[in-house]
Amino acid sequence: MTRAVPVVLLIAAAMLAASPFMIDAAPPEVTMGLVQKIFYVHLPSAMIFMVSSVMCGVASAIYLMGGRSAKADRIALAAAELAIVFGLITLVTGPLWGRKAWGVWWVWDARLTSTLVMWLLYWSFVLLRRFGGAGSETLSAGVGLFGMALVPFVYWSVNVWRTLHPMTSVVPTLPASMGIPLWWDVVAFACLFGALFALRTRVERLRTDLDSALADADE
Amino acid sequence: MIKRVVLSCMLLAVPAVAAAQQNMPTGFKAFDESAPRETLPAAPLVFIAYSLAWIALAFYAFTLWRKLGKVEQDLAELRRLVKR
Repeated sequence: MTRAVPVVLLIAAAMLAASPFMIDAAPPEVTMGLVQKIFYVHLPSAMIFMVSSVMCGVASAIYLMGGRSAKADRIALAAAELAIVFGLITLVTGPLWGRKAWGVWWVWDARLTSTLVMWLLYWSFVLLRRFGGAGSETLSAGVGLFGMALVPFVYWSVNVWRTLHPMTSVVPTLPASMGIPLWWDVVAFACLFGALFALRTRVERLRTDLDSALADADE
Repeated sequence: MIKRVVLSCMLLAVPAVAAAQQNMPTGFKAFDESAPRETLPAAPLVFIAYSLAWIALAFYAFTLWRKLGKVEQDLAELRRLVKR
């Protein structure tokens, strides 16, 4: 998998280099104007945040139910770290957009609050792994399951509760002039996510190899 | 048991309702034409949003590259020592 990383990174870099031109060519939204262009980075990062959360949750479930597989543990950890990175982008770009569009940086509505809680859960996953000591793999896998359980709640929250945040019906009804740059960025972010994920799991695998080699050397 | 659950829910709802009521308008106010209106420019917000996103991704990719280099170096060093 790691052999494909440079190719995937190149594809992501080329797509991201072309992305500003496509975003510039997209028409501004009628009520929000120029600030709506934050959408083209906010939504792809939010999508990848949710994908990482699901990956972390599935890997955690496999770890807990499938005999403590080291591979599942590595996947869960890599996905949790990437959930933090893409979640950070989502949580930073959202308020920048909201300040102009809504007049406030933040509202404690269901969508924003649940997204923040989900992001903090992945911080707890990673901090638990770093400082939790022996057995933290099992505990963090439990946290990973809770994180995945939040994904449908975060997704549907805008349709169920009253909020300033746009509903999920926005994306399917986008005109092509806005939809093409959006899906272009989604694919670019997905390629970047794939490459970073492969690198992160490789780091963890090499660390395991190093620990085993050190243990063998001690014997 | 049900009474306790209902009572707990009501107690938890009190601060939320109080906070919501604080933001409720108490009456109509006439629009003041002369009052300064907020004209926040959008371009800096868009620029900051994209810059922060690329900085976050570049920083993470850089730290990952460094971690990978370090662990590969440590592993190679250990293998070399074991061979001796």
